[in-house]
Amino acid sequence: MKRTIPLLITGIGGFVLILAFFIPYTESWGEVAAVWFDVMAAIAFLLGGGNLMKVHLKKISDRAAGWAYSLIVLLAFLLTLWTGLFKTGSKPADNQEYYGESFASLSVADLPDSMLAEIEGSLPEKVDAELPPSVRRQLSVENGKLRFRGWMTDDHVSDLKSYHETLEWQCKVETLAAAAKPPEVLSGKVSYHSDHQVLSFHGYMSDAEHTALVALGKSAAWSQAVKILFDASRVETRIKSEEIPKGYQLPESVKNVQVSNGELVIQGPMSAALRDQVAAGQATVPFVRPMTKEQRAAFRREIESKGQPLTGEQAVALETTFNTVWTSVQLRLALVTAGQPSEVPKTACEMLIEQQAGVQDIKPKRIVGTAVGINDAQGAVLAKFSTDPSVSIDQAVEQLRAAGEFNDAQEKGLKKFLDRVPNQIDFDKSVATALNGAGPLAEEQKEFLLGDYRKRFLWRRDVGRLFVASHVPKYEWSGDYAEQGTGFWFAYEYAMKPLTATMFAMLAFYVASAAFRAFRAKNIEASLLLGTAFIILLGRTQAGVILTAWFPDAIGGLRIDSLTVYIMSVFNTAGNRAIMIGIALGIASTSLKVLLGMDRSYLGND
Amino acid sequence: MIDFLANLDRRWIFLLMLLSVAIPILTGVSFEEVPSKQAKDVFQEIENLKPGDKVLMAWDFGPETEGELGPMATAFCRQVCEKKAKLYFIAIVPLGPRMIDRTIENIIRADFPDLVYGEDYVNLGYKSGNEGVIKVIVTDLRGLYTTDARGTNIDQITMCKDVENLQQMDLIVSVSGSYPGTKEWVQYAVSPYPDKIKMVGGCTGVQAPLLYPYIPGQLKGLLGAIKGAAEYEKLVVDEYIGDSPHPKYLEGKRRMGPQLIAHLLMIGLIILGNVVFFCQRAREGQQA
Amino acid sequence: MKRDQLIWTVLLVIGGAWLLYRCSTVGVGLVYAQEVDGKFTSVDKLEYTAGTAQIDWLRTLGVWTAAFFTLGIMSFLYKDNPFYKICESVVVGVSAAYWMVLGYWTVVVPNLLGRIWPAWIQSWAMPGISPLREGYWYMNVIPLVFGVMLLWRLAPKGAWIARWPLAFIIGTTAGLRLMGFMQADFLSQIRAGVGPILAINAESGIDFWDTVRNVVMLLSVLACLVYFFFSIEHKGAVGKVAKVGIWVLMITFGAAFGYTVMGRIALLAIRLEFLFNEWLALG
Repeated sequence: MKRTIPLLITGIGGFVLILAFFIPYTESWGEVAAVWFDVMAAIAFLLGGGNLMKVHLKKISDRAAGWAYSLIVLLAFLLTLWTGLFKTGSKPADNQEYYGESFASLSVADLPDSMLAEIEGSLPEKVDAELPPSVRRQLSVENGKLRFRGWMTDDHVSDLKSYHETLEWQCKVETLAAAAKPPEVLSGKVSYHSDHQVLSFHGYMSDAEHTALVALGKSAAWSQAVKILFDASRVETRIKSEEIPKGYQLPESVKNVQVSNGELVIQGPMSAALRDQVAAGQATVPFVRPMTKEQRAAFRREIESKGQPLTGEQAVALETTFNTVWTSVQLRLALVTAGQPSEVPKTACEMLIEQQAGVQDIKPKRIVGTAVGINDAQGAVLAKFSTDPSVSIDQAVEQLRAAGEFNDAQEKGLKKFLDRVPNQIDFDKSVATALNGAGPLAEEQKEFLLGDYRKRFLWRRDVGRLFVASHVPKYEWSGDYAEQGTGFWFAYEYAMKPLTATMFAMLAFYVASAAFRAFRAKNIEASLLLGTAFIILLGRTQAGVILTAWFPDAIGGLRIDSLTVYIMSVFNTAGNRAIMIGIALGIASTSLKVLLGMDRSYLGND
Repeated sequence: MIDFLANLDRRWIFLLMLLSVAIPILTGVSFEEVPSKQAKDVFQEIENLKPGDKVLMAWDFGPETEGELGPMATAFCRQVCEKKAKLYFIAIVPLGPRMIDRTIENIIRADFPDLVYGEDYVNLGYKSGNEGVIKVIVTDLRGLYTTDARGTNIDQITMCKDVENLQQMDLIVSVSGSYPGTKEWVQYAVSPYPDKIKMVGGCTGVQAPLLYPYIPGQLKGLLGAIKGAAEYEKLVVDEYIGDSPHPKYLEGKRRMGPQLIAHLLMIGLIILGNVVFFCQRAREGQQA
Repeated sequence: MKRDQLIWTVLLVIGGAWLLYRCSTVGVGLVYAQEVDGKFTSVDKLEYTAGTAQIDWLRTLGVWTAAFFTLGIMSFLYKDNPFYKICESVVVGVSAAYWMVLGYWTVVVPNLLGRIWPAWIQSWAMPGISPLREGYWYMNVIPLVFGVMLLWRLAPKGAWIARWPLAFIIGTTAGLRLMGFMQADFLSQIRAGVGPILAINAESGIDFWDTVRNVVMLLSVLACLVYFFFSIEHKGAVGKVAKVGIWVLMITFGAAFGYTVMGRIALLAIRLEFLFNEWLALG
């Protein structure tokens, strides 16, 4: 019993994997066995840790020789384990935290009937698979009707669409999704996360939104949830900030944030988008245009006027940075691309209509608009715009329209392009980085280049603090255990990494010592080994190239670097191939011995 | 003299080794690389990618081999990003996830801030089981990976929605330190599906000679040790970065300086060791 | 011994004085961190100069610790000493814990517990997963049971209990390896080895040198295999071929040695780069 069952398990485990290789039907069996194997491997890590603890605890309790070192092992182990298992210092994961949303628990059953969408239809036939987990709780079929309780998200739609790849079904999903939507006034403000069983409200709840939400249901559970959301969405958070930029103005669309008297106040939670909006404010920093020679020289003079002249290396670095700025050619290309007709994906219902009309080759996308290029006159406008700071974006658009056809998509393309190119602050920062890397900079020069960058950063930092302060963590444990700044990261970065890396680095010393003591050309075999090693050592560095570069081309094959290639690709490949074949046969025979129960040494003796 | 050398304390050799690596690092000696065929093959294979192609970046190394493999990982990531392919990072060695974090932080976030996590690149993270992991995901990715490394449901990650298994990858880029690594990817991913899966690799000097028999059938190209890294790095820098690249793209080149001096030292030591050996043998011969 | 001690004392004092000097002038091992949305990330010194980052003393201490560990391990080159032993102990402890934590968070939680009790795992550890069980979820109970049995090894009694999971691990390993090696290292290598001998060039017909190469390669593989074939005595013709096989193998080992040396040096280089640049700020 103690031996037979293990032998059976071994045999079955192995042969399932071998069978899976030959019989496609059993492929999934092999997968299951391999998944189990992988999970067991992780448990073996736990076992390893446990074993280590056992051994060293014993050593300590016995006061065996070197027990103090065992104590260190144990301390290092426990400390790292603690920080890792308990994720000390780890912040909840950004992507799981639903920033800007307030949650209130509410089960699917408690959702009011006003949130029940129904359409005629049933689930597709002949599908074995279960419904996608994301909709399983909310989708049901009753009396020939598809019913969805809650509001459908894009994820729901795409999960359901991929459940059955026919246009009929996908069109049905689209129809259902159109029905399962919150009322207009709450659009984009509420959602129901069935996985988390929570009703969620985004941002600050206005009175109108509150009224609309209350009106959706009458049950006590619903009213309770709405009340929780209402309260949470109006919680006030304030932080002090001394970094509010001069003349700062909030974007007009932002209503629930106030900036005044060294204080930042928000009602309700803050989403990442709101954070970026608040940080940017209304003012915009001018984008950088490509500079002419004179402009470049002037910029350089301005830097130099704040301190010492640039060194030669710095001058080169500055020039390189200038060249990274966009060009009018790039802009023109971007506008030509933006002027291309866009491809809009068709809905499944649209494609279904085509299918029913007998269209054979149904394209999943529709082309909208016609191609608009950039003519030479417009090119000239762009060229002028790119260097002349007096031409504003709006003026440029006007001139482009006057010079030829220029559509809205291109206007958008122009603005998007300029949005993405570095602005003055970014540019100054990259100049500072380049110059600082190439030579010294005076304090005043640094201030000139980095002053605005600092102001922008400190303001953004304070907005970030408000962002964090106004957030109520939803899943404290969702963070990454090895994120920068966590205890576990410290243990890895400053202990494990230097230690393991240095241990490997030590081999360089031992290999040198071995080369001096052990590599003797005693006979032909040893000489061959040494000779090859020489060639490889020389051939894989510049030395080989330098030593034999003068060989005429007729005997170019004898240059050390060529010899290296030849040795590696012929003799080394041949030798290793033979070894590989030998090892493969060895592994095959030992594996078979184990699987057939001929080798039982792994079971131990008793 | 011979007796002195024969009984030389090995710590002097250690010191020589230390100096031969330290001095070139401090003085910053470096040389221009001339890419070999292997490096060009690897480069070309990645160059053949089309925008939107799926590339599995198997980062199977840790800090212990970062000296050799770090520069390769950097250059690989740069080139794949430049090709606008989609990057799927994965690790089957325990320290791999830390290397993935580094690559994402230093290359993607720093130099490709426009790339969106989940749409252009994703970190699938680590799973235990060595080749057992490859065996599963080559036919069923969701068998092991239900979430990415950040805990996002894999079905909610745009670029993972349509990936059922590794056979859908257009290329596997494997950077590997030891076991498990490139060899296991060849054995369990490429060899069973030779028509579907293509792979290029970068590996340590210890592994490189052992992997040569797989070229070019099972492995389209291989970068071996720091030399391979430096050559490939040069190709990437010349093609995509041009003048004055950030120092992180020159790590391979920088490490070839110490490499040269240390190799010369090694050769010197072997010759010296043999001189001692033959002199001693000659002396013994005379005495006998 | 006395002279030894004197030399070391003098060296350490000089080194220490120089370190102090550098600490007071440029700063040694300083790490700067920048706060964005409540998280601190390490950044370069320019950010500090710009006033957007501060000195992170904890991370600075970390770099000094890392330097201590690096030098501690290297001190073994001189001779075995307590510092080295401390470093060795730390690496053992930290690595074991690292593996354990990794196994726990990346596999045990999502792939084992998360499949059997998804709602529970979703509620605290992994909000991203679905709280609903998949079909066939009960298949995961087996690795759980096996896992517990495997951990039984730590218990003082009932060592045989761990044999079942061990048997499974050994069986699956054997099955996996058998197929992997047979296909990739045996069949594919034979196919690659006996590939077309004649190299045909599109322009000039037969490529002479490539053909020679292929022939040499094939013969070399065969010679090595003959050498590995121990069932026949290596005498006469067989012995001569085997001898050639040894030569090829020696070249192979020479190449392996060359490449190994190469790798080791790069590994040393990155450690010295750490000491010089990150710690001593010489770069």
